[in-house]
Amino acid sequence: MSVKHNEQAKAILFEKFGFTEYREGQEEAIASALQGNHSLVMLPTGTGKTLCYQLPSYILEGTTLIISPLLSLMEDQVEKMKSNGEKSVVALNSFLTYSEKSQILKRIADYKFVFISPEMLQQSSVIERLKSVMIGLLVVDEAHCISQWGMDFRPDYLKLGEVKSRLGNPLTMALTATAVDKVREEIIKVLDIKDNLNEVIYPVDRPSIQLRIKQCRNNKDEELLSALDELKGPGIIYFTSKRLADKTAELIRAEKGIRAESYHSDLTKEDKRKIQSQFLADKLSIICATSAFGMGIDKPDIRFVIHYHLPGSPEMYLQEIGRCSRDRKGGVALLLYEKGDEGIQIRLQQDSLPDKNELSFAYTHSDKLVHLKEDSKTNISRYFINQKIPLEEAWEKISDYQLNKQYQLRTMIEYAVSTGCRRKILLSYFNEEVAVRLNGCCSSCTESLSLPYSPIEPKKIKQNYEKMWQEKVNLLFNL
Amino acid sequence: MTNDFFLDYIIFLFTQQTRVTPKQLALIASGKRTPSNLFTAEKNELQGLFNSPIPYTESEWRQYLKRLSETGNLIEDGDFFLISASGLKKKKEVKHRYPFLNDIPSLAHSQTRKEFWSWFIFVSQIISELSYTNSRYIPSISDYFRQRAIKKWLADQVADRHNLVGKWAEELTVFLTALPERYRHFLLDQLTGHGSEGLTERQLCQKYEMDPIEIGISLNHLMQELYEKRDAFPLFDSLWIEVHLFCHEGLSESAWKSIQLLNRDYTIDQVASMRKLKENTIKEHILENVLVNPCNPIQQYIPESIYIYLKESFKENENLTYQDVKIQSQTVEFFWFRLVEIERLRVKRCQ
Repeated sequence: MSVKHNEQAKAILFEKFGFTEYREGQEEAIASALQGNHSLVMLPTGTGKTLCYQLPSYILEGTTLIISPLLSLMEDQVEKMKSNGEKSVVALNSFLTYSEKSQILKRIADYKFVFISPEMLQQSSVIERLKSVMIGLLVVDEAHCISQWGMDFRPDYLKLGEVKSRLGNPLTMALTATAVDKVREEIIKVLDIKDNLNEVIYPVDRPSIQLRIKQCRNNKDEELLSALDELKGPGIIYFTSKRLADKTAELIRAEKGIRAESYHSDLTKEDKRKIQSQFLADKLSIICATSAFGMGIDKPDIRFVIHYHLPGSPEMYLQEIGRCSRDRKGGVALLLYEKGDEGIQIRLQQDSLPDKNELSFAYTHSDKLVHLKEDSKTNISRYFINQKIPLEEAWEKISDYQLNKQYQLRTMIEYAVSTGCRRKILLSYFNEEVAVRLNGCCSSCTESLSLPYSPIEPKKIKQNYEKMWQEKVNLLFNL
Repeated sequence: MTNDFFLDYIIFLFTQQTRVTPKQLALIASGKRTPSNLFTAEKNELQGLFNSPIPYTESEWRQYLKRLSETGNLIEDGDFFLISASGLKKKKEVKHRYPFLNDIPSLAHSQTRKEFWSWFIFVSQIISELSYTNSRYIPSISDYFRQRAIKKWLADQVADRHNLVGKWAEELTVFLTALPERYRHFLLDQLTGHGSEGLTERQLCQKYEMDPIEIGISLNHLMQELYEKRDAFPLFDSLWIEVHLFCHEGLSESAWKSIQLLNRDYTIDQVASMRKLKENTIKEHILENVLVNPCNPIQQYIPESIYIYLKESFKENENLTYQDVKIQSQTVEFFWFRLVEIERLRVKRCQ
């Protein structure tokens, strides 16, 4: 990075973000963009990937276009930027009505930051409009979605290379937290950023998080409640079922008197925002969530993440446990495992991918796909048909993907049942080795683990007292 | 508890003019803006139910209505239900028990009431944060267009800007003072602002021992209360006007666009051609407008001779149907017939 850019970047780091120092990897990623190089940035969760593209955007000319995979995450990111004082930001996604979208597109060049969903980028009217905008930086967030070997099969992500080319191959930064070599290779290939590329790759390990497993025998609720007695502090409990998340939050409130709420896609947008705010303000101690919760949540002192069900892949597991101990002051990742738990993941996999008969049917009756409900199976079939990929080749790709999913799940089962170092198992999946062992490392390395942080008594429901209503008004408006 | 509230609420909704089927109730509550649905709501004096937070299906409504007819509060007449004498007596008790349940005489503000509360929460948040000179917060409304409209409204409050916090808090205090204690907290607990995140629906349900439907119904009537007293609250009133405009003054967006053109003296066929719609669709928009906004005159849409003819025919036969009219005159459009029927209904009610 040139001296001038270095000084500019440091000044912006303080003025816009309030930091005096970069976190590891950030400076390299920023330098890469400012030198005009494409970059693939892989930094562990909780290390501030957002700053890697926001900061250089203030120095680079033109608009930064950020492709973001989740609508809820996109909204969170936009609102967070706005609340941090950046008003020149907008989201283009399917939440908008036709007229809203038209109005935003008309003014698109006025925005410094434009968040967009990959689905929206498939619309030619959007692409045509974006072609007339000077794109200073194209950011692909959660770039592992590009690869069929990544966590999720997102057909629209697979077409981003083509989109990038139609936009005139702007300077590109692909960001991810967890991507194995094969995924990284595919990101580079799909986005066609091999030339002029800087790879900023950091280990996925988070040594300050202690890895625990509890083998359960039809007693998960008991084990969970007993773990809560020890772990204390703000925490997240992940479930694969919304109903169970609701039920367990209720159980925790009733049995422990702890302020706990469930969080999943059935909640209204307003309630989701309120729960996030209550959690950030320490008025809620525990969130019982599905995977809908966590992306974009920047709470440094989450002390534990419990998984009630076995996650489907090491990538997913590392993303979710990475939400604790962002302040590096210690955290616990506890997996409650019961033999047979993997059945849920196997069923989820079966439900998300078409089998050979379904794929053949889709190829034979492609005209009827429009009448089917929008689900993962239909989307995947439609993608292969639209790309004019022959049936056999499509099936081969799906089979490969299935095999990969099975391998990911096998790794997680091994993680749950093995007597060896759990960290080693997780890291070896990413071709990494354990460099540091802190806080007893894991429940295999240390028989009786002690808490790696000072526990704080969780907020109890009964601690609430009702203020006089007039007092509430006065407090609200600082009277 | 909550079932009791809902049963009470049904009794509250029924008047002596109400004679409806469960299907009609489900349709009215869904807020479907077809002229026939709007007319059924008006005819049965169920404006308060229109577009309300009651998601029940026809069969669920039937179950509730049957329970009320078993207890003698409603009378079942074929597929129709109407209120009994003991139901009317019970209605008085219900009104006494829930003093915030007010009569909602028009369909015009059904969407505005819902939207207003959400804007109110956002404006309260902005003003609260302003009072603590904090500009870094996540807004309670993330929608770009709502944010823009609210910003515009705030910018328009030039005269009050120097004391916006004080005036907003003062109007809120006066409004809350007139409510029962429980509902003061109920509303305040939903507000967000500096150091206050607001309760979620589940938390409200738990604290106030309500179910989501009761929460929705309570809010609907509390907002109506605020609307009725708006003259005492200049800031709230000004916000209400803005929200009402945002909600296309109670109409669907398409109907609102047609009415704007008609108000600029374009004829029905001209509007149809400009908007590339059928004339009948524009007529439906007119009916929607007349049903939603009772003050709109109807005569301008009916040839004078037909208007007089229909009025006279109704005088002769109170139960005149369109089929009766068609036998006499093939040239009378249903649109004209319905307009006169609506006018007649309203005049009769005022007598």
